[in-house]
Amino acid sequence: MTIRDGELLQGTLELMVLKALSLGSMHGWGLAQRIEQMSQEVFQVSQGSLYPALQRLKRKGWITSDWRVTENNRRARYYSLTPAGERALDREVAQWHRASQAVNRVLAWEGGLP
Amino acid sequence: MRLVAEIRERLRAIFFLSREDRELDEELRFHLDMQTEEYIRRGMDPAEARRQAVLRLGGLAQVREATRDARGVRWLDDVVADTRYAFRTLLRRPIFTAAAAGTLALGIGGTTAIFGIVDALFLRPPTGVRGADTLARIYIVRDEGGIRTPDGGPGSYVDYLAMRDNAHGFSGVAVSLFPTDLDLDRGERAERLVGQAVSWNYLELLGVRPAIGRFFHAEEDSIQGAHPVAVLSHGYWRRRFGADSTIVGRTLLLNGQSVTVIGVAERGFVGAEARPIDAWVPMAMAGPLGVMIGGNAEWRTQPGMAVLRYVARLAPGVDREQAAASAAAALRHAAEAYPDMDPTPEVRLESVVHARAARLVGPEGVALLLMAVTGVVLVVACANIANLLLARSTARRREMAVRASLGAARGRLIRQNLTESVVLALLGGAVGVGVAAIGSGLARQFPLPPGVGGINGRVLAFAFAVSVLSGLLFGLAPALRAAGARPMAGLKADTAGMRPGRGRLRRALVTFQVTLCVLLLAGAGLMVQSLRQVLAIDTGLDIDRLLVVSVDLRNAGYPAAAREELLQAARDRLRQVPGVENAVIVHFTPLGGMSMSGPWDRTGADTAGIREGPYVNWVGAGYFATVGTRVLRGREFDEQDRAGTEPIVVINERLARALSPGGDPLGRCVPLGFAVREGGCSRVIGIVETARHRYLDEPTVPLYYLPWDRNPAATPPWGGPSILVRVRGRPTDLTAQVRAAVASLAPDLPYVSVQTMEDLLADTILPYRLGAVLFGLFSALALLIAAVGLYGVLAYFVAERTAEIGIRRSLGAQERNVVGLVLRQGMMPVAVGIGLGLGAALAAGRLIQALLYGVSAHDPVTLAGVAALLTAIALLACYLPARRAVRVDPMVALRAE
Repeated sequence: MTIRDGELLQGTLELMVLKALSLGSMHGWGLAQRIEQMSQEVFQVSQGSLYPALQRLKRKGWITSDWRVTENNRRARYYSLTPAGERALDREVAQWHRASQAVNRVLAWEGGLP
Repeated sequence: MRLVAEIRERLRAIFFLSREDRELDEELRFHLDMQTEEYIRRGMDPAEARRQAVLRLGGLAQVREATRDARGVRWLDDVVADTRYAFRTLLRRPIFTAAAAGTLALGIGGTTAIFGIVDALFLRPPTGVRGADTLARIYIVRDEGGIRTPDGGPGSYVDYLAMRDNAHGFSGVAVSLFPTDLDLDRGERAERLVGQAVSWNYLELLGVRPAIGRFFHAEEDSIQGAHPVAVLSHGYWRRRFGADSTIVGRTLLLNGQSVTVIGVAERGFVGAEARPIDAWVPMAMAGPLGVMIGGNAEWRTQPGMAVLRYVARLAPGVDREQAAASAAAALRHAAEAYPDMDPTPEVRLESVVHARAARLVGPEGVALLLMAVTGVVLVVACANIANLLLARSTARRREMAVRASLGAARGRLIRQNLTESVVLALLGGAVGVGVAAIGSGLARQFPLPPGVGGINGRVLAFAFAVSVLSGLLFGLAPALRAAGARPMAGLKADTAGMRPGRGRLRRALVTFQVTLCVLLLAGAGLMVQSLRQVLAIDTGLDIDRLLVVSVDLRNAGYPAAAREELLQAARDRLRQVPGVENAVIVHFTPLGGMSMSGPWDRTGADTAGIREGPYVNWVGAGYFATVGTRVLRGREFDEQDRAGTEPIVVINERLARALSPGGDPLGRCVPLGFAVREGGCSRVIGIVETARHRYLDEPTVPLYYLPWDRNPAATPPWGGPSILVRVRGRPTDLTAQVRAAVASLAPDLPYVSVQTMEDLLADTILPYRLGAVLFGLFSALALLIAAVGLYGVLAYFVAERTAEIGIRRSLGAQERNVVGLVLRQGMMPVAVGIGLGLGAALAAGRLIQALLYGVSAHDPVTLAGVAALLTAIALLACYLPARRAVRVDPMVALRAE
């Protein structure tokens, strides 16, 4: 099953971008590939959402970008995590776990009216 | 941290907008390439791979747009787009743009130039003064001879000591005397400078710093004349001494006294008065330098000698009211020792900045008035442009309607229209700054302190703010109008003919403009009338070709006998100079501003209508013939009069009428002159026409003349004497020879002042002249702008109603009916405007009455003239559109429909 990012909770894509970048700097296309691989092909990142998400993260100061040359000698914009981005990632991941556990608990509810 | 990053990112987005876009495009291209390669690897053929990659990306344009939105610069993109669009629209109509921007440039330029002056004079503390918010001028309000001056005035040294020592609200109190002329050096290097005696702490209290050397110490202001020291202004130090730093410690000869320079004040500081100061001396030097008449210790102990101006620094945490109360308490306590003094004086504190505005009249008052006038011109200009834009917005209704129907939001349309107005206003403002630069060059005609006026950062900021404000002001109504266009109505309008009520706003704007024009023109008319009256004043003097020569021998230390000898020698010498017709000695120079009351025993005289005087003056033999005052009966003083023993007097006609109503005082011995003090009288040997005495624009006063040659020692120690020189030809051609002739009499004379009588009068006439010229200029400008505006409205009206006029003509309307239609349309708002303007002029009359001479602010002739002039101009503005309406060919007009 493939999940398109339009069906995701807002902010999830950004969280995944941060996580993907924590493994090392990457350009936009590579990030999309990386996320798809990391999700074992469950998520399919649409570029229409990826680049605005990257802009938002940049505005927050969590990532920076610079132009580098790829292995194939192509110029590409690479994104990397800033220290503030690393801290944000930790924070957001903890929050994600809390939220998803809560959602799970709600969905797993078997009792009557609480 | 995040905020900083965000701001940086936004700034980058603003300034590198296009680069960001280019980079994004490159990034997306890279993405597409990579995706395409990926698909090819999976086995697609290249064309299909590319297509799939683009599909996968979701449309280049959409991604670009979404990313740009995420950058948070959407609104800025809009502004940039609006501005570009505004420029394009404005450039498409160059004539409209040039006319509107030109009109605005005049309005904004005029306002900006005047603002430069007003700002420096009234809104900012004098250069060099620091912490102006805790400084205050002190004015003392007390009864003097039963009159209580509401604004308060200067005070005495006794008051100073009381406030300095016993008022707790101040951390310091300083005093100063009015600025006075001081003579520097003798002989060839002699010149005159403006000096001011101040208490030792004055400069420091104002927050001024020395450029070199130091300011005064307390002990230098303690014992009269014991410490002859002075501080120079930076400007004077540069002008006279070439900024020589060895000036400190050097000795100067000031008013005959050796004075040591101890310091130079910082650059730009020229005192806190309207008149720029060249040198300051401690108060203890005022007496020895002859600045305080009768000068030694008495003035420091007499509570009635109210000649000091105060400035104080408020103590920390004390407000003005508390400080004023504590100062008043100290004064009341001090007044207990002087039974003659008002026991309940009050104290008013004013800002040092505001004080300059409130206490100064003359050119500064004119400057303030001009600020208002130029502001009105700007408003008239704005009304005009609003009118032009309204006309255009009607024409552009289709464009707006199309844009609205294509989905442009109303707010967006308003914003775009306003952007256009503001861009237009900024164009006008930019040219206006150029106009202001020229204007402030002209403003140097004002006798203003140095450094006042001109273009600086504050003035530029003002011009910018005024431009933006004007843009919003004149742009708002047209923008709302344009954005209010409903798509369907707008698209249909061109075929639907006219709607009633349209143009009501535009006619209201014309009325508003006419009202303001009437106000300005009334002011201009009154100012011109005043100037004419002032110039037409029969002074009783022939002031052309007259030079006034004076040397301050008294302060230079010459004994009385030597002074008279030198004066007579100078007079005789001047009579020898080629080109000189005559030279006579006079004590008070006529129209020189100085005077003195003379003794008069009023018993039996008709004093009705005599509010002041009589005044006395001392004149040499041949004075009246020389200055051109007619001798009506009897004779004037001659060389033989000095030998006589009987007191003699020449009186003016005004005094003659008061002395013996109905009779002729000639030849009688009248109770005038100093003989009266011993119960005697003086014989009237002549009656002369009533010449103006102190100032040109002052009413005539009763005056009598005593022979100078007979007893020069009787003259007061101030106000004179001088020598009046009647020359042939241009007086300025002889100035140098006259000065040289006097200077050659002795090698060590102080500065010889030689002035033309016309220059002396120019100071009195200047405010009237400036008022008339500038008021006239600006109101002519406003009138022109308003006339163009009226013409525009009518031309548009006729164009809009071409079809209607055609129908009327084809139904048999006569030419005069058509002309009448246009005239009614044009003259109605004008008539209403004239009515309102006249009302406003009558109401505002009181404000400018003080600036007028010999004409009432409600002068019916002037007001009627203004109304007539405006009507004539308005008719002229109506003429062309009316003619065009008459020429409308019914068939053509109907076919156009």
